[in-house]
Amino acid sequence: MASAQDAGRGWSMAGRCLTALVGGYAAAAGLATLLARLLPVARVEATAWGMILSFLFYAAFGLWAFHEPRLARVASVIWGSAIVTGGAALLLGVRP
Amino acid sequence: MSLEVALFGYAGFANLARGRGREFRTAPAERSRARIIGWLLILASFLAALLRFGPYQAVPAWLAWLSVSGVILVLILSRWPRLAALPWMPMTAAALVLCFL
Amino acid sequence: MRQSMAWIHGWLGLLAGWILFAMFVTGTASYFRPEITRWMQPEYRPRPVGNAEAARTAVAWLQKNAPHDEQWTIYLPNERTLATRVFTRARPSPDPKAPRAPRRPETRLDPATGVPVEARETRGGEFFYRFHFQLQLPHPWGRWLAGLCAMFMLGAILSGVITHKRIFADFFTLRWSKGRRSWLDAHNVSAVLALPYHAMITYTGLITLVVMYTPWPILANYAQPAVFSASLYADTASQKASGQPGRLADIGRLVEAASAEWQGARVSRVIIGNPDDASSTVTLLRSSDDRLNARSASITYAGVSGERLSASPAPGPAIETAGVMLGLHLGWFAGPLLRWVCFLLGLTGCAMVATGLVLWAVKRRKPGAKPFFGLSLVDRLNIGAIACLPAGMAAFLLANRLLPPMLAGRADLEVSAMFWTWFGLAGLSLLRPARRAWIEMLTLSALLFAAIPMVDLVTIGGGAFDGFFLAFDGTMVLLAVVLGFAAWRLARRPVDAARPRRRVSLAVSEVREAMDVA
Repeated sequence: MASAQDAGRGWSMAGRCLTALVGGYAAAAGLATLLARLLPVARVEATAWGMILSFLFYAAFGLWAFHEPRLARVASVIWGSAIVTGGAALLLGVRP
Repeated sequence: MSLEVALFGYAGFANLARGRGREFRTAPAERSRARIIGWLLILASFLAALLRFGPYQAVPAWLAWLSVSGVILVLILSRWPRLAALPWMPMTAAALVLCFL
Repeated sequence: MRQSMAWIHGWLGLLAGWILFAMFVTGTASYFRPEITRWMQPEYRPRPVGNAEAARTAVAWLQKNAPHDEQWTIYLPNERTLATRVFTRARPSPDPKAPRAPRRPETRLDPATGVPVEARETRGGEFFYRFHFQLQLPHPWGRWLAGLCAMFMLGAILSGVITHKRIFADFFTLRWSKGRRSWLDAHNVSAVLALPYHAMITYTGLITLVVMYTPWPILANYAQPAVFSASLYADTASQKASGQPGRLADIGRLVEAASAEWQGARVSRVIIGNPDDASSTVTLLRSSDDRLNARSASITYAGVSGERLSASPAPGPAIETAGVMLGLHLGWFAGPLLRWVCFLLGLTGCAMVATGLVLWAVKRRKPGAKPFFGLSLVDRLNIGAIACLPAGMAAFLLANRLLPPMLAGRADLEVSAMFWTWFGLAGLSLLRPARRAWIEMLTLSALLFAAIPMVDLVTIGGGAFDGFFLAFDGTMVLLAVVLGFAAWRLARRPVDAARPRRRVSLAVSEVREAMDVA
């Protein structure tokens, strides 16, 4: 039925938007944090590089979320990246 | 006074526009010459910026001046196409003079 | 790829466009932040004094009026900013349950006498500057919203470049009076020709508040986040007060010492931590007017003894990059001519956003058909955001001249004038058909800008006019002309139901943008 299809598309779009906006931020933050934590340069330098690049990561994730047609793929990659990078950063703990 | 960066830029863009022959007609023989002159003038614009602002500030200052001269060229080009590219030679001369002032 | 990018470009641009337009306009105005403040306090003609003296008088005032605060920040005057600006941060209340003290606005002091500037009370250029990144919303919501819009802008720039098929072929193309095609040309020209600027201003804008937007890397690398800022520049908040009272040494001497250490470079800022304490510190920041990196060197002295404690470390590449990005956004390095260039580029950015918003509506309008609700909504929001905001800004300046100089609370009234005018006109425009609303609002904006020099002359008087006021009022006249031209061009076209409703040319849009700056 048209309305059910529309409703389905509506939810799918909402999910994509949420993934791009929130998931994208989480993934970008996670990636930036992991980069800052692992980059083998001075602590203050690594922190700065992570922060500087974070917006680029966010934009890339966000745009890709709307470029890739398969929502399942988008969700798994973005949320997955967020969890993996964030989790890794948490497990690694604060830089000694 | 860093006007020469913009003057070179305007003249350069004007020649690039002549080189395309789309906004107004240019003889085909003229076109490749105009393109070469255009790029040389853009380079001159960058060198003038380097001279005026020093290596550190040259790139942002150059891009800023270049953008503005591009916008002005397009505005004039859209309304008075033949007039837009006309002054490129006096502009280049003026720019050369300003470089050394 | 192009299709998906075109789609996302349209939506990112639309959803953030109205706020982005306001950010671009107020941001462009902020290139002349101190000039606007100076215009809004015309009776203030200070006697210029050296930095050391200005610091002394400021400290004297602070010792009388905020002796027990946690941190004093003093922005020393320069050629453009005539007064000394001081900010104070109160000690946090020992009661953990007490609400946080609200951030206090700045106080402007006369550099020679150290007393608050005796001129009409006004926010000045600071108002546009703060609006630019806080959007008049309470902290932190304004900054978050501005940041989100900036992210949308970044996405729009990237997707716009990817989607633009013939970016070089269309480089010089601008066709007037061709309806939809003209709007697209205008959007392309304003966006592509100044693309380096737009990309730079957007990314560096995000960087200015990066510590707020992405603090996580700091948390991953530092057990105590305060150590991060301490290793960059002196943040005296982390310094503990010893509890013993202490008296500050002569500030002027420290200013001169630092300036000497920097081969004569000016001191731009003085930060004093725990001023009434024995362990007070004085950090002096070097002016960054001559360089791209806005985060300049600092030297810290002990407050009581005047002993030199430390200097900021030479920045590594990442920190230098961040500093340069900040400097590019603020544009302090620009001399007068280059500053006007940045201003023009900012206007081009306003044009880009506005033409994009209008294009969105024009593309979806079907000639002769009644517009669907979303289209009407976008149309109306466009009018409110693009045509009514300039009127509001003009009203802010007019209110400055028209309100009695001695009136209490006039600073807030000026701000109210701006918002009441802006939103009031936006509301009124709903009562008119869209096309008429565009013409009328633009005309009104033009008239308000034209009124500024006239009101100026009447209230301030010709005798007080010098080159500065002439230049400022001259700019207002230019803005009025440009706005009026836009309204006139719009009014010229006959309304024909068979043709696309708005056959406006680029001039209108370019103009509409140019006007929005004080």
